[in-house]
Amino acid sequence: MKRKINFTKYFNFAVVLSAVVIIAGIISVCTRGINFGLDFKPGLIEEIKISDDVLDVTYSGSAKVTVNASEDSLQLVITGVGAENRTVNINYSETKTVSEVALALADIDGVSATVKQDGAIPSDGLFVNSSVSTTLGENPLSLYAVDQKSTVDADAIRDALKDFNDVDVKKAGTDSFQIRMGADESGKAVADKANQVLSEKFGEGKIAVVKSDFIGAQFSSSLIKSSIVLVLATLVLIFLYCAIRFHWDFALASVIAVIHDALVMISFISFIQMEFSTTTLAAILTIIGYSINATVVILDRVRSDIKIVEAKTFKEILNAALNETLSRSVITTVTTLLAVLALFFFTTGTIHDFALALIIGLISGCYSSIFIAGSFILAARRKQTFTVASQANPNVVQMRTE
Amino acid sequence: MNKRSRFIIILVVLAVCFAFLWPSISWYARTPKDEQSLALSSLENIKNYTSKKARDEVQNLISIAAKNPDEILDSSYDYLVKAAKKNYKNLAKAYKGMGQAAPETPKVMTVSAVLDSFQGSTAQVDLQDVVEAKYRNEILKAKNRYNSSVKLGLDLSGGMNIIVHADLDKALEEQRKNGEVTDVAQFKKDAMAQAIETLTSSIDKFGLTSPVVRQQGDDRIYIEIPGAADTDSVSAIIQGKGILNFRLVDEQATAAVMNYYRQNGVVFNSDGNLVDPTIVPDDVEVFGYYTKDAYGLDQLVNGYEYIAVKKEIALDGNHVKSANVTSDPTTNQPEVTFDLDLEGADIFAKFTGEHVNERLAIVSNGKVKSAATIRQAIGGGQVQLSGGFSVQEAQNIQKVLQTARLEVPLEIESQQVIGASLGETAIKQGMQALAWGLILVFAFMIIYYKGAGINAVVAQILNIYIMFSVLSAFNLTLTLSSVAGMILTVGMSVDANVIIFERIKEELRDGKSRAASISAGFDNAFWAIMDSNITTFIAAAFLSKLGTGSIQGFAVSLAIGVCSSVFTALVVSRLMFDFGTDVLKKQKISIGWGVIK
Repeated sequence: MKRKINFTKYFNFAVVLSAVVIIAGIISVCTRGINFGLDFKPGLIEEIKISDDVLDVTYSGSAKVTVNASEDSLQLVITGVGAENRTVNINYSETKTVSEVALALADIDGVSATVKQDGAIPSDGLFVNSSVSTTLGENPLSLYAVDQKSTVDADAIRDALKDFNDVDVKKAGTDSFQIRMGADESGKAVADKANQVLSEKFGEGKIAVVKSDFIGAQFSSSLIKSSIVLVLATLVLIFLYCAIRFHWDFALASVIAVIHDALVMISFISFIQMEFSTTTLAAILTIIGYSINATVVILDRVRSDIKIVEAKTFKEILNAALNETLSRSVITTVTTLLAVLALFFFTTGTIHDFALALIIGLISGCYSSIFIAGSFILAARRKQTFTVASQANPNVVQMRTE
Repeated sequence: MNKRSRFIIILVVLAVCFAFLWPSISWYARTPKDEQSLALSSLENIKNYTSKKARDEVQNLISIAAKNPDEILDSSYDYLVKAAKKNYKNLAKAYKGMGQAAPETPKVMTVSAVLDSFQGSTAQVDLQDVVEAKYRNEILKAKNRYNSSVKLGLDLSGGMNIIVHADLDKALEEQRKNGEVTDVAQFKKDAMAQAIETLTSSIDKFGLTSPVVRQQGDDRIYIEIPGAADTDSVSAIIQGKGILNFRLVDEQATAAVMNYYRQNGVVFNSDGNLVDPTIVPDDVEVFGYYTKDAYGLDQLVNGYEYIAVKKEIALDGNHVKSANVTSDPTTNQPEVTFDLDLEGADIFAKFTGEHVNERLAIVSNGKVKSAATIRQAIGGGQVQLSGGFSVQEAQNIQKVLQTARLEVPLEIESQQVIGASLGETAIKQGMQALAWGLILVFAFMIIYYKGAGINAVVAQILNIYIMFSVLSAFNLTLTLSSVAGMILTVGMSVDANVIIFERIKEELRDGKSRAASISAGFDNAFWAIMDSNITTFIAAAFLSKLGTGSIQGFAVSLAIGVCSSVFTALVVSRLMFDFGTDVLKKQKISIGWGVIK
């Protein structure tokens, strides 16, 4: 057997440590608050790119022509009455400048393209404003290219929008900005006004909206209510299952460990003022599932060790069980962390935040399943002693499971 | 259970999963973009397209036959040759029935032989039907494939989702001004159904890519429009009210439109505008004439009836006070009777007096619902529509009239617009993260557990495969958060393998043989795996039921992943171990460092 760690020795220290973190978290939540995301706080979020309208495309004819703009190509899907069904791919590896793309477009029956500003196609391709239809018609569809020479920064945008309520601007990705503002009445009206102000300030056609979200007040309040019910109900269900499978004090220990993890995550979210959205809520709920998983594995071991390990006190049994499951706890946390780290490094936006919250939750979950659940169960069973040591007979276990 | 039956179970599971996955694979990887776009458009658009296509095809065949009657059709016309052979067979039977010798069936199916097989007065129409059926089947097949495949969520495909709140209390208040509302709950239900129907029909009219309109809770409507759509026009639709009015039919223009249709097979382009606006005068608008089909969906009368009506409104629908279905006392034919308010009665009396023997159309949300001839001037505000319709049709018209007054104020509560390019980036990021997550976890497992690690890796690959196919089987939507759920499941479901391997290691340390350690390891790990996964499943299943949007997608894939990981860890991985012991006669076990056995 490997070297044994006397886990119970660190229990008091762990409880104090957790208490400090959680109390600091509560203070932070009270003083600095939680940076609620759009889902929970009504308002409008827009993601814009400072860009140039480089190409206007129109179409006259009876077919339906839609444009798909992606990073490396422009795709036109032609369907319907009056034309042969086909998909035209204009690959930027062949057409390197805007005027070449325009020429390729003009080859298609009925499509005409006007070059507004010639130049090389930027590395992330041309894109369209997300709030317009990409079906071509008489009204020109504008294709944008990111203005790489743009000197506009978040401060300039914030300054332009200073007349709006609760404006918050931050850089999102390499060339886009996220604008957030309060919107009481209609999100669309506010968005239109803001976009108008921005075009006045930075020039017509310079602003392309790639994403816009609006949540009304009523919707967000019903979401908050249902989220709270959701979390509480999940906890109750888990408690009931564990109480049936194990013993009530085991069940309570696992629920306490889970609540501990949720509180640690909320503290962390408040510390770094991360946006709290439904995705963050999903992260907390995941950790609830994950942490319960970890705790149950340990408790299962404790239960079976009570029957087979020769020990005088519950403390010894607990220590033995924790040692036996230690490598499993560590390895599972490591593998899950590896997967979450991949998420963290390869994604942006909400999923990136989600991954960060999970990383904290995973570490906390591993720690709490050992120390916090352990401390509680030890406190509950401190008195329990084993006068007659059970026989160390491994077959007992097999009989139980068969 | 012996090894063979376990192996068969695994094979069956894999085969079933493949069957579920197949529509998704064929839709996303094997259907060209233009075919996808067609398949996703509305049934009416598909019908327009196929009938036009068939018409062109028939003309094309006729011209081929005129040029060279003996030309052999290439294999793309096999379906037509088949139909022709069947025609000749039927023909022969018909002759036989009359006791005459049948004309000889041509040996070689040349283009003229094929065309000649269609005989009688309806020859061209029949031929066209055969061609149209072929095109229609192709597109509908693609549509079915789409319907049974994994859908991409808006965050991956780009698009718009809107949640609309219907102010039912306000609608109720309005209604009370006109009279008592006896059953409030029923009124609200009707009002909601009405609002949804109005929205659905006006959004469908845009010919957008398979939009979704559904009720959420008691008073919310969820609208999802994949792909790119014009925000302004969509908002205008939602804020716009259901419009009902009475307008005079322009018979001359109607005839011109129908004539145009007979020649060209199509009247509207995919935007819903006239293909050739010059065929009707400026003061006239063209609408389809719709009735409800057996499924309660709007259908063009006879499949192609269009009516041109004056732009000028004869009477606004909000003058209608009430509408009832009655029956004619003498003929017992169903009739629709409606009452107008005082002002409406005056306008109507004057108007009908001026236009006796002309047709008056009821236009609702851009569709003609009824067009009846004015027999005489109608005074007194009580109007009867009679003649030629079934009870069902009468009830539909009554419903249309009744809802004219009913206006449910709609308010956009949340609106999300995601650019298609963002969706593409999201797919790329998700796939990258999934790939790297898998590589890292696999590398770790193989390095740490050596030979046994390979079992875990195989189990994980099957796990992902099963997860995707279950998503496909239930037509669930794949969002970025469900990809995140999968990645997390990969990390977590390795857990089951880890618990087993650690248990096996312990048994080995106790000095047991390979077979005994594996057996004991699996047995001891069984309840730990079950308990921990059931609790996780409880949390996930609960979330998937109650959560919304991103939480739901995440929870569903987590719940599926938990189930499939238990299966792969307990059944697949076990079988691999047993295979090594019994078939390869392995005595040793490679399960990590520092375990000497």
